[in-house]
Amino acid sequence: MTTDRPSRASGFRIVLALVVLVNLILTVALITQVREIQRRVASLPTDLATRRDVAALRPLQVRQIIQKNCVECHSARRLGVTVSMEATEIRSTVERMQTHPGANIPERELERISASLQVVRCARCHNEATLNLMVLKTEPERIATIRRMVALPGSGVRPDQVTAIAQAFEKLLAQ
Amino acid sequence: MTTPSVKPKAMIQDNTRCIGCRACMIACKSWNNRPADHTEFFAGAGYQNPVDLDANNYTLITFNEIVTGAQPDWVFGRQLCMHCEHPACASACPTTALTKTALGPVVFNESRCIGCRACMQACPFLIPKYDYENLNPKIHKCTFCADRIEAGLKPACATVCPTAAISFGDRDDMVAEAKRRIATAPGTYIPEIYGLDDVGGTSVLHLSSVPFEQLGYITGLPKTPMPDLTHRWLRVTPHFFALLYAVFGALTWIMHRRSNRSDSKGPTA
Amino acid sequence: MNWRIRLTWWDMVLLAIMALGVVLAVVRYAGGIRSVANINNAYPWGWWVGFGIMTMIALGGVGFTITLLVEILGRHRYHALLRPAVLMALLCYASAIVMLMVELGRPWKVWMILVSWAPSAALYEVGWCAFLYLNVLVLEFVQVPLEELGWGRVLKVLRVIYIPIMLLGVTLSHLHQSSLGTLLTLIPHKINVLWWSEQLPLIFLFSAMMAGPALAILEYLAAARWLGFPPNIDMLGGLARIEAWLVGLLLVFRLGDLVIRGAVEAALSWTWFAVSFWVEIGFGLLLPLVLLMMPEVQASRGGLVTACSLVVAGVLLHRLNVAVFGLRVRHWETYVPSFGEIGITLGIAAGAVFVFGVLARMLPIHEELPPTVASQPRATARAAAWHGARSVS
Repeated sequence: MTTDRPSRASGFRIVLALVVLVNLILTVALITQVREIQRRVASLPTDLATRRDVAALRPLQVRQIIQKNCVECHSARRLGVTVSMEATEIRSTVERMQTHPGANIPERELERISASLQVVRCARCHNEATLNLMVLKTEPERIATIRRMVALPGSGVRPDQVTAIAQAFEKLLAQ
Repeated sequence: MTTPSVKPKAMIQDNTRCIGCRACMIACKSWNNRPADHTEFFAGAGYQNPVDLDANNYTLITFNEIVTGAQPDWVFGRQLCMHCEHPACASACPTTALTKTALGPVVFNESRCIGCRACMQACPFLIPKYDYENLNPKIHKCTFCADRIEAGLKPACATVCPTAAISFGDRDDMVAEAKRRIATAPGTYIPEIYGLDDVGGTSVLHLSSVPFEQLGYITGLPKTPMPDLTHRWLRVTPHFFALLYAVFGALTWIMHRRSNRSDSKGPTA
Repeated sequence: MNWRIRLTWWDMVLLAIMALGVVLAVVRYAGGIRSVANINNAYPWGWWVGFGIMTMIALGGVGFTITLLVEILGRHRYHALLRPAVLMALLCYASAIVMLMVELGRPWKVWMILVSWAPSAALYEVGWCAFLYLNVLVLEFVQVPLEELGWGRVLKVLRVIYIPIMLLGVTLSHLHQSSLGTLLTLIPHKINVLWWSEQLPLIFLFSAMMAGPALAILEYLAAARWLGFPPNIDMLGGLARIEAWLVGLLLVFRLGDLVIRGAVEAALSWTWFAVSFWVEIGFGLLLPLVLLMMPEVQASRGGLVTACSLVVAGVLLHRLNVAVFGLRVRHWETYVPSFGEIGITLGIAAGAVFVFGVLARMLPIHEELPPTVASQPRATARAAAWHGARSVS
């Protein structure tokens, strides 16, 4: 017996069978994806990121700036003299270095080098990683932090230097 | 087969010394008698010209603007046939038109080429090109100046490079030299030799100051030779043949006997 | 042999398409490949290889599948499908060879394959096996016209060697169908993860086996309609059930392979590749599977035609996906088949259909046809003639 068109009931069964099979396939796909996610989550590091890790994503690069621009000609020890200088003194010193042949200090680096030298005085007490935490703070928070340092004995930071140091941090963050 | 007196050669492409003068491209075209092309400047990535390797250009300097430090700068890369130790193109060619020679080059014998272009599909570095316009077309790729090497000369590109970015010599020496350069100047080079063991090792070793993906190189290739993938299937062909023939023969015999037996019992089907 | 055939309007259409193909082929030979085709350095293989060679050879699997079913597994219920299947396979392989003559850059050198020794090249194995298999098909099929011409002595020789060469043919088919897949395992970095697999040889082999019964059913129903005999739907129903198994097994194999390779994520992403993949699986495997499992479809001409056409289309789409569409290229590289390429392949396909139609009317290919269409005196020997040793008993 030959029929040329399946009846409506079989059309329904075709659709039903298709839906069942598609469901089966999607279920298997879903299971594999869930297992994949489980595997990836399990392989995540057990330590959460610390604030220092986050700060390290956007480093101040003070050491690199000084290394690249200053140390080639004279040793890093010579930079120690800048610890007692005011901001304007530092700037004019660097400007003087610019005039020296072979120094190759570009104009836009001038600001960054001056800022780095200002910030270096914080190394009296803090290491690089601690200093880097400043990138996570807002400007008012940074100023407040520097004021706190002023209050600490032996920091060598005077109250009238707070603004200049804060501005130095801003310049380093603006690069 | 390498006899003791024939040591395979290799080339170092040192991208930190490349200045993008393209003398290698011109020397290559000159030695291989390729005609001049009419190209369109800025058709591709900036100053890179032509855009890609083709039937008339067997090597290409890629121009890449990479930001290192404060500003972008040119870093040049080079594309050419890598003359693999285990070439996928030679393994895919059904008429053995491509063969790896003892001195290192993978040479193309155009008299055997039928133009099936399986080598173009097989090459992991996308090197072989075809001249579809030609009525008698053939595959085009760097020859490593096999004829020059055999005469004791250096390839054309290595001879004309003004900055010695291209070095040429025995493969062992070139590998040692590449490693030495990385070891003595770690700030200049990234610690990777492209082609050292990719796809089982090649005869062209690239050095770079930036990751190779940024220079348009194909990365992520396996460290095992590509032909291994087909070899594992093709080597069982004779066994497969014998097994299938035997199984099918046995089945035919069994079914034949069964139908004969049922025939003898009743009317024929 | 019936020499008096009337060419119908359908024959005229086919001849016109063939003429177009010939004209385009002349342009190809006179002007080079570039003058008719869009294949380029990024896509060295395009429509010609994807359809004209790979799909044609996959469809040629009807020969070894039906031969395996009838002669080796002894399911003589389907022997009416055997001769058409062998003829179709012969024409498919001949079409693939003709396509090769156009597609190769230097077709006049193709004999080089036969005088080379390149066992590491999958194409070498394909070339040799296809060449040998074509000879086997010719030897198998030539019995039919020789019968009509009454060349008894030659026929006796052919019948003696029939079983060994039939076995050779089926074995060779397994080898080269899978070798086309082996060829593409060489480029995992170039084929999209949805289609590349270490099991490509098996996938190619199983899909060629799946295409066989589908094509046989389609041909049988088409012949029943055009040559005017009532189709044996029960026989087709039995074959449809076998086909359902083949489709189902390939579906499970393909999806299982996808899961094991960890490529499910690519299949669930919103890309054109994923769309093409699901169209291929859904319309080429899933829907035909469901249709072929239903008794109503197994007993219905329209249902069988629909299901089997979907299977064949699915095989075509698979070959195109693996060898052309799924190729990873750089973002500026593209390929769309040109009218020249499509015209030539259509011309070749039309040629195959035309020759099949002519031979089906000239020779006793279909057992159901009344004896007046086939030549008279051989009618009794006809049914036995195909079955080699069996006829001797």
